[in-house]
Amino acid sequence: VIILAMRLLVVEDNANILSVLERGLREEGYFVDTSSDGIEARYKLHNWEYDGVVLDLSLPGVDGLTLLKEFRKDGGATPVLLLTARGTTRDKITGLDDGADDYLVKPFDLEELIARIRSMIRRAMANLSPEIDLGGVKINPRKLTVEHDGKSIELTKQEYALLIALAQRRGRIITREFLFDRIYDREENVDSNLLDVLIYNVRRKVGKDLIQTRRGHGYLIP
Amino acid sequence: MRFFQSIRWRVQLWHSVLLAVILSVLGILFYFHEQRGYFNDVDRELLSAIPELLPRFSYRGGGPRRPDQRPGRGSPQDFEQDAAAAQLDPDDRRDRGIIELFARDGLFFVVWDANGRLLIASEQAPQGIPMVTGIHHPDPPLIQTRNGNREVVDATPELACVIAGMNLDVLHARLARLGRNIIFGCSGIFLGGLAVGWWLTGRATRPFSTMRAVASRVAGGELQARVPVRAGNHDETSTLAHALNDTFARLEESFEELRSFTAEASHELRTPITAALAETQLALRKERTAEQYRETIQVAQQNLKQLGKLAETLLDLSRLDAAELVIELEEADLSELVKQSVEELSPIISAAQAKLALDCPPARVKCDPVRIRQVITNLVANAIQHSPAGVAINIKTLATNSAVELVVSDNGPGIAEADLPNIFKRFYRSAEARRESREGAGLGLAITHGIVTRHGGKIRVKSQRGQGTTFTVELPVK
Repeated sequence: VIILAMRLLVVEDNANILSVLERGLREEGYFVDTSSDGIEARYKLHNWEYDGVVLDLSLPGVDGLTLLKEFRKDGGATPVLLLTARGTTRDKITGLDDGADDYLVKPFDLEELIARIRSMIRRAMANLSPEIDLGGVKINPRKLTVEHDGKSIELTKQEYALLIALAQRRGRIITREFLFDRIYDREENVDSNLLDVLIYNVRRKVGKDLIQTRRGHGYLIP
Repeated sequence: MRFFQSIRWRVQLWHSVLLAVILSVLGILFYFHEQRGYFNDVDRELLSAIPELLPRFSYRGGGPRRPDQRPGRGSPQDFEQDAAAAQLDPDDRRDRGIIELFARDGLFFVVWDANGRLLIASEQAPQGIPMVTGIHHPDPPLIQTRNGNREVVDATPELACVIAGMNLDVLHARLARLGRNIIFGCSGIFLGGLAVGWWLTGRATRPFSTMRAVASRVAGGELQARVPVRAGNHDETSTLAHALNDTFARLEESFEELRSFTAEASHELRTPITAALAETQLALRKERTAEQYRETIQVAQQNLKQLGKLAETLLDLSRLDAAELVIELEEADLSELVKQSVEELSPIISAAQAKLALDCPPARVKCDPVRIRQVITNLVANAIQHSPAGVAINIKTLATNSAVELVVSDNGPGIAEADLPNIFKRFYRSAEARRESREGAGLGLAITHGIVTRHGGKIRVKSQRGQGTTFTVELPVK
């Protein structure tokens, strides 16, 4: 089991390809939102914050490049990987100039796609080191282990996701919705109060002062 | 470019040869004309001098001779008297006229008396010039050229011979000068003609150089290059330039068509490949259950089938393009073909709960039954694919004297007006078809259109939003 506490948006008009991408990325530990047309994708990009976007260029409704340009113009900083059947150098240059972070031509290798998404997100998140040291609390995302004052602690999947979601974005105030999207899948029908329970549990295990509350805004690890 | 391979050089060569010949002929004709004129002038001048000379020497000196006094009978005294009288007196008005006349370059006169004795020779007269005998009064004056002199010879009863002459050296010098002038003049005209010719041929061939330059740019891949043509110009080069530009435009169009066709085809081929590849790669990442493997194989199979269909369609299209699609004409009944197509489609017809109504009286036509069945199948499958479940489809056949018609109409959602002109284009998919991610690459109607056209027939479409769609295929009976 891998827990990344990250949510991706995959936009692709071919149902088969969309389904493969969704399953593959879920296996990699990402939460995945999908969209098969430009208009729905535009709505999702506008309303939720993602950690990465996989965007096909030829889409019904609004085409991928237009969507990308709009997104960047509105200040969207999420890394975007373009997926297209057109592989000329000119197309690549256009895509990258319009704000894409990476570019992959169909047919692509699934492993390569996954590796590129991983590296794209790593580049976007500066402090994504193999081991996160929060002073007193050490997290190893590869081994899924957490140590508090040198002692190993047991965390549930959700507790771990909460901790790592905050730890990877150290110093940033994280909203409740953002946290929620990185702990629970959309299919899981959970009460948002569960988040408070999770926060309480984590604080109990790793110390009260690690996670701070900013009332009306969210949480952060300073 | 070698000079003899250039029209400009060749025209210039011909031009110069022609110019040289014309100028030479003209120069030579002019020279001889002038020469004759010169001689005529000299002769006229000499002739006009004769009447001046005759009375002067006939009636001076010893006075007029009596007509009965025979020549040669004059005494030496008479002769001395005559010779003395013959000396010209510059103070005499008439003598001065003669002196002045014969002072001119090369002119001279010599006079012999009736006895053949030299009475007087002017200053420029050649030494020892012999008398001309055999001319008698009242013969007309004799004109002759002798010893390089032009001479007019006359005689009177008193004078045996009077010569007014001119030294031809002077005339020859003048003619040589004339010849030189003609040669210089003609050379000047020749060089001027060459320059003008060079300029004119340059002007006339410049459009060709431009066209050649543009053509090589086009050949080099700059397909949008065109020969500049002034509007309203309809001369030979402009017509040629227009023809070339039309050709270039057609070429660019075909290239563009080919480029977009290749791009579209590659796009359409990549999609099922990507789906099958990604699906199998996902399955192979780790151990799966038998059920998961089965699903993977099914997805792969479905995409491979789609790929195969696409390959076949593309092959059909390329055959249609190359006119290689073999149409095997045979006598067939359109209504039979409709029944066979409907049979073939029965799985999707029942899946879509489509209600088919056939009104198909026999309609015999010469056609390729396999291809026409493909047309019918395409049209009916299209109607089902683009309509919600339960669509009603009417198929009619109609036979007239010259043609048979197949009408496929449905009560589906119809086709947007903006899409109507494009539906027979390759890879054209309406906005809805794309939005709803329907299967199909937008090639079916392009193929249908191609097949019907290859049969010499026509296909028409009539549709309105919400009013359904009617396709009419018309095939000629012969």
